[in-house]
Amino acid sequence: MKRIKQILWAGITVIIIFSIRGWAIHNQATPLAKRFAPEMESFEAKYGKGEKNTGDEHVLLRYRLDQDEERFLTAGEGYEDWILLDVVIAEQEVIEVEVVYSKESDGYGSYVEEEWFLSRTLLSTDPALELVKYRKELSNEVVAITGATMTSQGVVDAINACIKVKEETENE
Amino acid sequence: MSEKWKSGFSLGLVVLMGLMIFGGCATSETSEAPESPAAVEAGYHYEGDLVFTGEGVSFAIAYDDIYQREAVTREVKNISSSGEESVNQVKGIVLGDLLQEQGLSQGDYSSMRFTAADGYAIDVPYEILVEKEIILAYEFDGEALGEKKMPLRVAIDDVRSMYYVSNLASIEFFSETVEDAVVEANDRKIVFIETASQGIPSEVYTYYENEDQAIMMKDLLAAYVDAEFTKVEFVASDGFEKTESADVANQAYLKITGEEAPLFTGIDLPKGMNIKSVTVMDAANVSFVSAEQAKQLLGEFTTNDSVGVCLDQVVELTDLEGEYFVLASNDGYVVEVSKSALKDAVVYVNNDRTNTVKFDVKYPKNTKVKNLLSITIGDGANAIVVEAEEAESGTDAQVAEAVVQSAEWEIEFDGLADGSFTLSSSKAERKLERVALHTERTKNDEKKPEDWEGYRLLDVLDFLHVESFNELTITAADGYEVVLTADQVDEETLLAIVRNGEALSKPDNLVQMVQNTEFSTTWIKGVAKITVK
Repeated sequence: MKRIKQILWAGITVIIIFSIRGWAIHNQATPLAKRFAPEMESFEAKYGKGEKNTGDEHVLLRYRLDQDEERFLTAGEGYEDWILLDVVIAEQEVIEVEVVYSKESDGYGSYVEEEWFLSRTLLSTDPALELVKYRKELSNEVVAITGATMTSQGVVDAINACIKVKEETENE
Repeated sequence: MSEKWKSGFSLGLVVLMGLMIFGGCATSETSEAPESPAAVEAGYHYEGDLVFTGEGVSFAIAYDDIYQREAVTREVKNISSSGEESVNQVKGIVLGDLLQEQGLSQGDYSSMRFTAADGYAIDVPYEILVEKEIILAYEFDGEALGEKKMPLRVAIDDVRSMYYVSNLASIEFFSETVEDAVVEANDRKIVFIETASQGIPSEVYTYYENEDQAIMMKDLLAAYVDAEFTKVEFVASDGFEKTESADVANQAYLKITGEEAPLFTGIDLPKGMNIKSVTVMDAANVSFVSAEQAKQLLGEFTTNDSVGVCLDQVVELTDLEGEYFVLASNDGYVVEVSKSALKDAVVYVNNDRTNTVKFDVKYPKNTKVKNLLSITIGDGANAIVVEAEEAESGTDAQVAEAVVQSAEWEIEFDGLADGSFTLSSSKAERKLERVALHTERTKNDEKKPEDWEGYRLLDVLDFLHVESFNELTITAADGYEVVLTADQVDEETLLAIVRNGEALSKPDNLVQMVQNTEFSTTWIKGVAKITVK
């Protein structure tokens, strides 16, 4: 009887230990979040504590600004490195996009920070954004930076990740 | 051991076993931090092969095999599209050595295409292959290539950075066996890009922040190049020169408005293969020239209050050589000029992106050609000749300083000693002296001053060996006749073909007989026949 009790207590201990471990794992930072911890910290210093558990590893922070407006810190893979963007989506429209971090090639992807490119992404979120080259034909198309398709795709992917996160929340 | 210790030990063992079991099952979400340029482990390893194909060649070498080979270190300089130079120390293998093992030499090929795994490709031309050492590098400045650039990156000293293909996947060999068609000198022509592109359908082409217009190169080439060609040779206004294969050229666009236009580009053309500010494009017998970029390259030239580029210098940019040149507009209007006249002409681009050529003031007004499209070699039959001669004494008729090209005409001369003779415009131009005549006839009580150019009737008769005559019957094409006695025909009786600087062009009045008289009663339009009595 005594032995059984001991084994039982041992088992309970193990379960408790792993419950704690599981919780820790669940709340552990994603690889991107680890990588961009300083940028996230700066972002939170500016906008306050954001939601980290966004459901998409590329969307690092999320802020519910009001019923229909959300701000995101999101990441897209560029050519040289990841690109971090500050994206605001209101109702069903991307209304603000700013580059928070970028290390793209000078003369190529470095144009990602130009207003004339970012303004191309201020579109309706339905349907999601799609990258095209040299000419826009549909309303959801974003013309890539000349010579920097991968960088441009990274931006579009980052914004689309936010759109998806917002939509999934709305559908819940 | 006491019972207490035994129990404690058993308990600890159970806990430990439990930890090990569940710990092993737990999946960690804490994987490696995402890569930025990731470090490659020492002792480089990369799955896959570098593939070589083309011209009967087909083999592959494992990347790991390449890493094992004897490496070299070189200092290489590359130049970006904006002209910025970068110098790197690279480590890798010499492509030439690798090819030599296969019995190949890079200089044996007209070009080699380096293709990256992401599809980026660039053709390295013969000029580089035959002169430069090509390194397949896996270290730059002592650092391993980043993940995106692995397994190999091309490095060639002192070339554009567009040739530094990263993530190298394959190398393809090309040999140009088809020679461009031999072009006769007389078949060569210059086509002005600005005017020519007006006739080609254009489409929106987003270039950085601008929405410009672009035409398809294949449309432009098809419209003006009849001979077969395998390459297009470009010269830009910054002096950059490049040759592209016909295949590449035909799939590309020519951006014709906006910054750096004309700009050779394409949807899938790497930015490094763009050619900005195209000044000349040579394909077979045609040199496409941008007057705007020629001005940037050659400098401004001003004549007759117009600013552009000197036509003589433009022609010198191309292989067009001759004594006479025919300048043609896109509506068929032509002017033929001598080579010496080119230095007196300016070509400029109008607001509607067409070209105009204008000559110095000493040339007649109708030497100006709007919508200038092309320049070809002429035979001089209708050439403008600038002759600076002194006026003949005793007459108001002066030698024209410039001869305006007229339409073609013929006049039949009857009653000659040896029958009849047809004087043509071309024969007149070659054989007779063209003179000018100022008249001020009275018409409707008003003085009407006019300036004429043409041939003295007396000179024509002299040419026809008419030593004397009593009268001439001048007959118009519509049958109207005027009879002039010998004393009515003087040095100021002209078979005129130009009035006020404009060639007579109406089909029923290509030659008008005029005299320096107060009234034009003896004047006759549309001279078709002259009968000598």
